[in-house]
Amino acid sequence: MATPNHTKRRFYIRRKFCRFCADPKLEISYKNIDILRQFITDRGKIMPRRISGNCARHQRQITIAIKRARHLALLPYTTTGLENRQKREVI
Amino acid sequence: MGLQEYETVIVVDPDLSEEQKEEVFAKMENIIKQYSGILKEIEKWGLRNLAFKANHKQKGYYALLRYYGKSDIVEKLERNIRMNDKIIRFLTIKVSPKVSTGSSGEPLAEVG
Repeated sequence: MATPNHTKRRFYIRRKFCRFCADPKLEISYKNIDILRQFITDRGKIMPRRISGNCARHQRQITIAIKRARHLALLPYTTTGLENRQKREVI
Repeated sequence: MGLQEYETVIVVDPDLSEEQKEEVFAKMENIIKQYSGILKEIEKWGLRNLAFKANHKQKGYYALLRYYGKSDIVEKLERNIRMNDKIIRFLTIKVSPKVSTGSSGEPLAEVG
């Protein structure tokens, strides 16, 4: 029996889109940490545009907002520091 | 003439008592008034965990000051904040009605 996988594309390629262009009400701000958190990796790095799918304009705004939030200790600069290693040991 | 809206987030030492915290806010309010600024509000976010240790503290008491003033008010306020060792971190943003990066800006004309 022929499997349909041979004829069809194996992976469905999902088109990325800028969430902030799609929803103008979504505000980019250093105060909105829950949204910014979605654009940093688990190591605390800012996600590149090719991963997040943001447009250039909103990526710039996100970068500034994340850096502001980091300064206020709302977001981490990195998670590989000593204090986190200790935390991991506790967990 | 020429009043601009600013917002300053301050992270206050979490080990202070309620009165001491109020004292810090009252001081900020005085400075803003002293340099002919108008304090719109103090938005207290309360005690939050810091993402990393700052000044050997794991937590911080966050508060947001919204105010109007001339450009020199930021300089004066920040100099005072720097001298105040009860404040761990601070950040001042100029709120522009056009740019949405800082905060939802309201037209300045309403307050005048």
